Amino acid sequence: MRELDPLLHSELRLAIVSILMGVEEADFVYLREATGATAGNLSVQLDKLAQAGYIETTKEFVGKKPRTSCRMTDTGRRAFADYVDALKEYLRL
Amino acid sequence: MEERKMTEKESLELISQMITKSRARLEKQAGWPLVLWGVASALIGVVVWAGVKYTGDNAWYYLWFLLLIGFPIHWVWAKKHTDNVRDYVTESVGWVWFVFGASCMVFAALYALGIRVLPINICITLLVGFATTVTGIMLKRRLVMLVGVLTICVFVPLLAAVVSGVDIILVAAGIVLLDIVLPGVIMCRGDRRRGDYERA
Repeated sequence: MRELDPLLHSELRLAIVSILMGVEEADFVYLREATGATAGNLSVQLDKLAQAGYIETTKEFVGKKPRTSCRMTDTGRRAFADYVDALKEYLRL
Repeated sequence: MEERKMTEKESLELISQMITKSRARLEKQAGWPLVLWGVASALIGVVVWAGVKYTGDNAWYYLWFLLLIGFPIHWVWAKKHTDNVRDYVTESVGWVWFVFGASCMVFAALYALGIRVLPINICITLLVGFATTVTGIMLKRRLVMLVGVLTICVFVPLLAAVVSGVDIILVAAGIVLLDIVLPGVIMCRGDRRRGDYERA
């Protein structure tokens, strides 16, 4: 049996990655509302995913407001696909 | 949502739930403009039909240009109400309908300039059928796709063969209502059904 990727096998990080897999790009506010996470917790988890190379974050200013956008990287997409395959193995699907 | 370990089953459920919720939210966001544009087009269609039929004055056709007001309103509304998320499917559907709307304006402009060789109502109904079919294919909604195909293969030929005169506008308005509003309503209602399911 393959080991489940510990970085993805966490509720909030998995929720973030699942959302980002379905879109091209999402910003911090959208992810916070969609996951119901606190800004601090979300920020920490996004940093972990970015450090692992699973997501890319872009910080910019829209008018006077800062905006952080996130998108999946190819590494992240592969890791997610492997994670889902491993889950299926565990559940014998 | 916390940072906690889950069982394998919970993980799969979470993935499925997040993808479904995200898709539903994006579809709802893309669905409302379709409902509003469809209703506005149909209402103007009925007014134009009634105006031309009961006064005989072709100037009523210029009312179609009222739809131009919708473009800046839609742009401002979208800026205020849409989430900061980019998604290929709903963005593409939005572009399909934008191109359809722009095509209608070109037809209306040609008519206003006196170039009346094209059967405008038939052309617009055909275009709406294509746009609805593409929307159905992209969103994987069979009913929407079916309505689009029916429009192209059944409604347009019937419109061309059976209906004549100014009444074409009224029937075309009905088809436009069906083809634009129906996908919009399905996109918005799909969200509510899934939301109810999740709450239960």
